[in-house]
Amino acid sequence: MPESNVKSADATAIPAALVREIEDFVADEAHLLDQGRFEPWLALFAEDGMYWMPSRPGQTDPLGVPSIFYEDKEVLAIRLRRVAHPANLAQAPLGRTSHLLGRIRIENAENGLLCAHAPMHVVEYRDGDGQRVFGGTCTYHLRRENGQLKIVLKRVDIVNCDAPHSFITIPF
Amino acid sequence: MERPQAAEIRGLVEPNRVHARVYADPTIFELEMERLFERNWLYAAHESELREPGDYIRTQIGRRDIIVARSEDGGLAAFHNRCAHRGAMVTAAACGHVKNFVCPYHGWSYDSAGKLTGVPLRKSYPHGFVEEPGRDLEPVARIASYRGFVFVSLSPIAIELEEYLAPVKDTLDNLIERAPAAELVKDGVEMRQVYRGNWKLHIENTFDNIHTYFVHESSWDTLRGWEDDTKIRNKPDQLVQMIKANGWPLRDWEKSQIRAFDHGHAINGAYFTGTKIAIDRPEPWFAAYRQALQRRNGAERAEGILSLDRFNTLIYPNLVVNVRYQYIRVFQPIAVDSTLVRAFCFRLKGAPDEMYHVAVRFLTALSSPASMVSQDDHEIFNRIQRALSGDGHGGHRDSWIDLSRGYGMEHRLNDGSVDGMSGVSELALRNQFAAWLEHMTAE
Repeated sequence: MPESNVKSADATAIPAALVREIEDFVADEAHLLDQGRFEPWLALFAEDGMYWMPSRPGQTDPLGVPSIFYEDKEVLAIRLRRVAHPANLAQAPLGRTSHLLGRIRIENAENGLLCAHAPMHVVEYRDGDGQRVFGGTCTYHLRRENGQLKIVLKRVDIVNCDAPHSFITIPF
Repeated sequence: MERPQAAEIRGLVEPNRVHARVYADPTIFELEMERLFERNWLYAAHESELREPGDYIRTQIGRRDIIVARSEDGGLAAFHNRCAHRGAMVTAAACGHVKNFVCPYHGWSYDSAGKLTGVPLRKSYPHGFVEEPGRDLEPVARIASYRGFVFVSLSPIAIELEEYLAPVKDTLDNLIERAPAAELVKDGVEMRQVYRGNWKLHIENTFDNIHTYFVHESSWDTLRGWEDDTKIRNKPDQLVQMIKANGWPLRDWEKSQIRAFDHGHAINGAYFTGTKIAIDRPEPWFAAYRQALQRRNGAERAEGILSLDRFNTLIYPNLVVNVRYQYIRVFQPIAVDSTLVRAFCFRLKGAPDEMYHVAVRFLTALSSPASMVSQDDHEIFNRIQRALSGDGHGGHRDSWIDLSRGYGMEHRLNDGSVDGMSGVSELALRNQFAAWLEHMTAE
């Protein structure tokens, strides 16, 4: 198998096929969000998977420091099912997003996890609230389960994480 | 802009309804800033943010940028963040530590009490100019601390802070007593949300107990339909528990409590008794916390502290305290149709870290921009403001906003407070407007 030119932190080359697989995975993940296909999006998460959007630049503590999002798969499921509820006020009608992900950097993280980073721009539109642009970095911690990559952590650091915001409903 | 006269303002507030102009008229808003926010006791800081001389925080009081600092003599000082020379802000940092505030424009410097300490090229100013009164950073008229909670008034007022807080100061006492070391610590991280509605809409909503059933239906009803109902509903997560509680049947909300006090203050409660939110947590760290509380206070007193059945306390006009989750909200008006909500939680000194983690989780659940709960509230405020905005600019019709739920049911108690006699009463809203009218018509 040819080796890619992507190097991990300890200089171990990552197989090109794996690089391609992760790139495809990340692109598909963002596409599902933009399509509003939340159930298959959530299925990309491992059972112990977390979605984290820190409220502070470089935040390391999700428990002792508040976050914009720090949600496990169950809470994410509540969030995403609520979006479709007829009494939903904050998303009536449902907002739309468009993700633009930049070149992905991949490294072998610890504990056998694969770690990938992608610069991200998201345009979000919601009737009544207009259009907003968010920029930042997505970090993925991925684990292979039964042959499939699963998200153990998706961390989204938006550059204005500590600014005042009007509400954010759909994960980026 | 023409400033509304007292008689005109009186015409906007009736015992059980108010005119839409109070939410939508920019001239009313400017008068609120002047008479309610810049001439009243407003929460400004917590002393745990100001431990050492030179520690300071910046905050907004009404329309003014204010610095609250610990001065060299260990006292508290508050002054306008505006150089006495050319008016530049002397600091743009949210908080910090200084020996002197040095204006970045021409180098005038002030000590941590705001006193002028140095002027470069002093001799180039007219003789005696620098020594004239008024060359310090302009101090606020009043500053006082109630057990660590620092309040300021930008203009002179007669009432003392302790007297102003008196009807609800037991809420602050209880919050402090919940710490085994009887001390609160603010870590500095705040969550900030903005909504496009008048500031009053939020303090009203906070004491409108039954809105939860309607406004938050999309979340509690989603939870109700869960396939693994028991597991998810018992999930020890503040957000899930909050969503669940929001779906209490309306008859249960009738059994909750609303009380109103002098100066516009209010509490709601009776949320934790019976079948409602548990006071205890099942985890061992809660038992350790309870033991620590008992060691300091004795068993009976510790239970009394833990079981105070109070949810939100409004310290009028813009501070809401929740003792159960050490959770604070400050509503900061930006414009007639725009409000900043600042929220944070306290660490209870001497309590296990997990107690703070629960508070952080509650804070996130309710005050993160991504909160599944408050975003529906904010959307309601946005919609009210859009619907009323025509009435603020001259008015196309005679538009009144109703506040009559529970009107006539309330009962005055011996201590002078008023019991709504039903948790669904809009008593607290009527009480807020009584205080509002008093401030707004005081010349």
